[in-house]
Amino acid sequence: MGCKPNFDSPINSPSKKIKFTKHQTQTQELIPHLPQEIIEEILSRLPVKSLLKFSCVSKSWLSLISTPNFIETHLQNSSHHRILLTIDDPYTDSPDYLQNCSLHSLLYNPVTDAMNIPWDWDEFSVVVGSCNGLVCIAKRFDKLFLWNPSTRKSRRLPFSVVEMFFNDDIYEFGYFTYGFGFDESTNDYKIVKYFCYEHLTLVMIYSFKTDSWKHIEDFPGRPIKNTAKFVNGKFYWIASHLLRINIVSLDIETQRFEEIELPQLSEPDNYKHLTLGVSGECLSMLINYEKYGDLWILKERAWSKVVNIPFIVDDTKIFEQSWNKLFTIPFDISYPGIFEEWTPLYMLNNGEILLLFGTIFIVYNPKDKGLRCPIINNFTPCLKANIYVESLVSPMDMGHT
Amino acid sequence: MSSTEAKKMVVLKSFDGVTFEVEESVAVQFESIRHMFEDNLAGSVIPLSNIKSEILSKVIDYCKRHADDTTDEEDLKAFDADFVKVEHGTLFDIIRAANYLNIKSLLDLTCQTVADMIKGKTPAEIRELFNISDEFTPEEEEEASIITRFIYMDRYADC
Repeated sequence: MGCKPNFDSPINSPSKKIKFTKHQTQTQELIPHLPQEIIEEILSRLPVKSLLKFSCVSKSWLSLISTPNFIETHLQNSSHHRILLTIDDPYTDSPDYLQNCSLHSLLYNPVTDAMNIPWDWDEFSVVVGSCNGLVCIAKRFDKLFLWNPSTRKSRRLPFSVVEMFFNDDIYEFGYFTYGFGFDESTNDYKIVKYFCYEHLTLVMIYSFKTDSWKHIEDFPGRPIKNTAKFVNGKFYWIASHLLRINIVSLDIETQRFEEIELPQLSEPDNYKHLTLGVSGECLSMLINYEKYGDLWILKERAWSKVVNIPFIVDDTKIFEQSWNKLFTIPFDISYPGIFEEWTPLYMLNNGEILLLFGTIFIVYNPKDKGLRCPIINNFTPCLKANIYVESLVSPMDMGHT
Repeated sequence: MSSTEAKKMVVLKSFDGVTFEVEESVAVQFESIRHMFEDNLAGSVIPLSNIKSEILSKVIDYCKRHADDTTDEEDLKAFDADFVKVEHGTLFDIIRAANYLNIKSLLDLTCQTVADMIKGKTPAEIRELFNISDEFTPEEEEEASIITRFIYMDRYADC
């Protein structure tokens, strides 16, 4: 209210005061000298794009933006989520396999622009997952890359012993599945690899800190979906074991597998697909019956009950309590992608759920049972979507921390 | 002042000597000076020697509104949006005060406001805005911007 800014704080010398007053007449936007900690608070709330641009503002800004502490603070503050859109078709010869768009825009604007991201797709690639702004990509099934799409830095990871003995036959008939996660107990990124060829199955874990692979215990049964979902310190697969479908989890810290019964399905013999997703801090599962889909989530509290009781997996009563059916999504036959899988991607604070439904996105509101389809411009219909957060985390120097 | 008995008051004194009487339930949001009135220094005046009265009164207003459980979320959002519609100098004084008093939500609000304000600016505009003298030499700057452009070229097409 017409008040003049006060520059009399101890930080500013009298000479500064004169300088400010002079500039004040030219521009209302002049900002007085700020302590480093406040500059840091402000910069840690900027999008990655602005930070990269501002790294040439001054030496002190450049060094601030590059410190591990700042990168961590920025990651904690980052609210800029993007969706990575992948064409999951090994036979297409389109050069733009990867696009991205803003999650916020997709959720709140009627129309969103998708941007192409350059990525060397000389071989068929699969997006394994994302963590802290890093995305893990598997090329030709066995070549792994860690990539930060916001800073465009990427790093190729080493092969494990297994790949040394590979031949063409293995690429043709072998089966790979991966998971990518962050181990908070050791501040380490890890990739789990399941490999199966003829009678050989192997599970290996890669650690960024040691930059090496380690063999772990066998997978109970076998996974039947391509990549694991990583939620709250655990990888999850849909798996089959002894002719039954269940969920298998792998704790990233203890590296122990657990089997989890499916919830009581309303039509156990009549579902088309099971798809895992992430809703908030929980694992979610979408069951696609022909006429409707059920979304279930697994509450963390119930999980903690079973962590210390291995081999209790046959006791279904424990697990029955842990699955919570959220609601039933009515099925509208007029939507395209009817025969495709539904993937639960994101849950909003107001209870709305973002789903990838075949090749389109749907936002479902359980309160008024409303469905809406956000439109994406410049969009090659995609079959896979991964959400990542914009960050400055580098795929390069993790091994040295 | 509906109930005269139980409300504990804290007295704060600004840089320019103005005193403010604030309910303790509001003042608890001032993390960094909380120990001063919680250590039973009731009645004594807490000096805030680097916050002037005009800024302190705004900060107290903010904390009063945020301590009030009856305000609904939408109203609070509208209040916050209005609260940061001030001159830049005032905004930065509030940031300093929020930082000094360690009021997390106010620091979040004001720093996010500044971040949104500056995110589209050029490095040259930022230097002027923040009065930054710690500059690169022209050669260093050229090098830094060449590297940035080389790596992130496509992202800067629209800047």
